[in-house]
Amino acid sequence: MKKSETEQETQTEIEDLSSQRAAQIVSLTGLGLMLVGFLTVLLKQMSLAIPGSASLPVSALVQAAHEPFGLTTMSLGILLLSLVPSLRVLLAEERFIRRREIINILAAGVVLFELFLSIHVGIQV
Amino acid sequence: MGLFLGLFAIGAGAGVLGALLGLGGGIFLVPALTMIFHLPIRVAVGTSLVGVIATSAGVAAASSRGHGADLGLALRLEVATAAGAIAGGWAAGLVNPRMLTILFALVVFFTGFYVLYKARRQSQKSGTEQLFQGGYRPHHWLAGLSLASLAGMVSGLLGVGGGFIKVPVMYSVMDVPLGIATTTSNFMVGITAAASVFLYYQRGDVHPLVVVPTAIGVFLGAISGARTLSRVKLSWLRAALVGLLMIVGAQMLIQGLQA
Repeated sequence: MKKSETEQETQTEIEDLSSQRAAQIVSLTGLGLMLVGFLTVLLKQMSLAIPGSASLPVSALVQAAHEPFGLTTMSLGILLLSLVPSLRVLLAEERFIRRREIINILAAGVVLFELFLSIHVGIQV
Repeated sequence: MGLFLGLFAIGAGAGVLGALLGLGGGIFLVPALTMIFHLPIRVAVGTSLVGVIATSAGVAAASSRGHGADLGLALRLEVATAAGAIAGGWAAGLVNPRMLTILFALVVFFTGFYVLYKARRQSQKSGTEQLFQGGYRPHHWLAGLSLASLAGMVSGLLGVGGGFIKVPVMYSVMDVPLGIATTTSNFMVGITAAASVFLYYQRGDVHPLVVVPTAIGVFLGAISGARTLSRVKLSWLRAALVGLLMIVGAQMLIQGLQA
């Protein structure tokens, strides 16, 4: 009994660690893109007054070839970082489904729905 | 260049405090960006939202084994908070904002005193209390969910994240260890910020030259804050939390009386 509890705890810790690592990779990629774009802008000494240009809208990012590299990279980084909480909820939902924790599955489902709705509405504005 | 270093430093400070107290850091970032850098409020809020997500990501990246957020607790409370926020947003146009601000200040003061009362009672009962205690079980779900929805309502009415309400609710009402309550609240405020950041982004209120140095500062600050958290004394953290509640309460009360 005790052994199976320990095994379950170890399994949970491994799952926690892999979710944490996935979120870490996405966060660091986003921050890396932001930094590369920022340094590009600094080196080119383009508009250094703040607030400067606004981030590129998602539709403009799709046609990134026409936009300056620094601004495009920073905008992509910001979007990627902004997706990290949704990714963490998605990973938690996957874990709850595997463990069949019904109440947590429902709670995470509602939060995910709310997040996807806000992303959808945000992009449509 | 000095301007960007200033943004980085303010971000780092907000990240450390946010990680230690379970806040997103927006409560420090928005006033700093508007008062020191004279940025328009919408740009400050857009920057702060990305900053809050960076705090949440930084805490998640730095949390060691057994010191992370309780995701199940966070998501259940988040459902109640979201429902409260919708109700609060709807009610915002119907309630007198002055009365609301004063009422909010009173709630914040009450929360601060309740944290102190609970801490005193707990120390009389058991004597020892740990920042991160394994094998805990959250209690008083009904009260916790009701207060979480109240925190959401306050968020919707006043446009604040509500992390400073969520931490005392989890710690004092639901008996969650303070360290876990802090990291769980960090996760929750990240979700709340993520729900509105895309609106600000697409409306053109997110400016990379402001956001990038601030968010990088916040992320690094949050990592060092989260690493410090496991070494901080519980009594210091509790005192800092009560101090913050008193400052926010006083600020709100003055604002309400002056309006």
